[in-house]
Amino acid sequence: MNELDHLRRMRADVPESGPEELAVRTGWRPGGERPASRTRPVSLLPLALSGAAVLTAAAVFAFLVLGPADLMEPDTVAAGPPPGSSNGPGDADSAMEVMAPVAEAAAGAPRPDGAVWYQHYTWGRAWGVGPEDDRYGVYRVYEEERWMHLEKGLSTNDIPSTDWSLVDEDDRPAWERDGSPTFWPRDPGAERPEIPTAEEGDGPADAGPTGYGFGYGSLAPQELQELPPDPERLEEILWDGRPQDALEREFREEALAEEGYHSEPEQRFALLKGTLTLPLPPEVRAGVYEVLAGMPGVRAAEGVTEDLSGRPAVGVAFDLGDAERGRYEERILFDPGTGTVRSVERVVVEPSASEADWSEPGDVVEYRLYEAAEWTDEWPDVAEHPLTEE
Amino acid sequence: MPSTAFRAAASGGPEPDAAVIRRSLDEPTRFGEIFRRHAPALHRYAARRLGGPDADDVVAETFHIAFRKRHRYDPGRPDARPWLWRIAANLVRRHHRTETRHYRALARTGVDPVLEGFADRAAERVDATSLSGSLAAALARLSKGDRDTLLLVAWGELTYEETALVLGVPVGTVRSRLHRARKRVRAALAATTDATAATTPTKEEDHR
Repeated sequence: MNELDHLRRMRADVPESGPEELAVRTGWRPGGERPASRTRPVSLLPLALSGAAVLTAAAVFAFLVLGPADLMEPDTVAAGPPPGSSNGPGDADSAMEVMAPVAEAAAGAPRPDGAVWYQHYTWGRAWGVGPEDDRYGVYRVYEEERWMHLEKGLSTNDIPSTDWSLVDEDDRPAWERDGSPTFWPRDPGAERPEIPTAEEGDGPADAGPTGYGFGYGSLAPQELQELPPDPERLEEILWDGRPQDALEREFREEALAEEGYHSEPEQRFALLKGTLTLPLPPEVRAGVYEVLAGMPGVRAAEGVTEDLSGRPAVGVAFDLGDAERGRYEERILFDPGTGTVRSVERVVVEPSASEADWSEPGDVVEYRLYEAAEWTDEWPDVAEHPLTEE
Repeated sequence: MPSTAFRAAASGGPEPDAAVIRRSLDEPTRFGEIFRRHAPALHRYAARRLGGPDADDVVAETFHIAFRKRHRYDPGRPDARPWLWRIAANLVRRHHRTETRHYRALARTGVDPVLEGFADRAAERVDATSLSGSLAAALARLSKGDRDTLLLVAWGELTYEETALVLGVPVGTVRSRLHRARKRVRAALAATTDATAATTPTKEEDHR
């Protein structure tokens, strides 16, 4: 026996199913809806059906696949929920159920103790690298610290380290076949930066003036501290509750497209995400969390109990993308005990066609893991360039 | 191996795939005949690589895509097999890591995860021999391109020309990838055979 004979023997272990049985198993029929992906344990779905099941399957096949196309029948063989829409109504109830205790924990946080809001996080983004027919995913990773001095109105940041890692350890053989690289130069054709980034610096940058983006607008440090905690009032401030005329709506839609958003709910979700790491008073933070839970398209991140690094976490999710761009679930995860933000993670639901050779459903293709977000009196020794009034 | 559809047409049997697809433009349910002809072989190939549930998804998605794109099918190609297999091959490739894990599990434990849905098959295959384990380990280490090429030929029973069409590469590339993949698999099998022979007493030793 040669190697092909051995391979054919492996194939012989898997019998060929009949078309009737496959029509039932797959749920496919001509002109039908895109079948929902079925995720289920192998043990619950035998590859072969019993004899009686095959007879039933044949009857079902004859009707569904070969039957008249003008009869509209309930979908009795498809399984699983339909693919979620990226801008559907979400599930405000489920999101609120998750966020209510998180908001309560946030409201109970200690009052600010210090003039400096300090954050420390690790940021990673996945890229497909390697030979065209054997690509694998790696993260471009960097660690960042950020200080915001509320009284001075200044902020500064530092990148203590940069790194890379495989998206999935199962891709290690592919990485080894590629020669086990530890650096990938910039690829302008793929619009990919060098990995790891060379941004690792020599200490914090000079401090400059900072505004705090809050929804569609921005606020001065004092305005941020004087925000109302009421979610309805916060919504008005976030989204600038002025009535829009037709011209303003047209400008807003053009701006959406220019900024890369495909809908207003998507844009608002992204803007609110940025708001969550601002130095908010505890009760205002709780109010913002309630706003988040009630936003269109936001739902509970079901089944999520920890963040990417394994810390206990709960949170909400928002569906992004479409068949062309790829479908993703953006999750914002919180520490249920303190109400602080743990992480923001973008999870592949269905990769885009151009990335499907290295990216799989379940991959986290972008993440920001927060190690710390706290008040302190420590301010780095940096040159300061405050905004001078003319 | 010519497809059933092409062979049938040549002998005056059922109409070629291209004709069925053309009819389905006016009568969508006709496309069910394409499913009937090709889904079983596609599913078996995908199931051997990924296991039952993922194979179901691959087949469902393959025919969903094919149905949506049937208006673009080239009527000059009577046999739809390369077209369908190309769609399926791209979908199978998305499960590359799942497949690699299956092979590693087989290599490590001797249990074939793909066959777990087959109670009767598990009983028939008393073991996975050490050769199966070595074969699986070799498959796990192949590049995506080499693995696709080897298995389209070995498990899909496609010709070199069909494989080239499915993968969108020249036939020469198919030959070189196949040569490389077979060489690696052969080396893995030979290493296992040598190891087995080294631990098996020879006749001379037995008669000592």
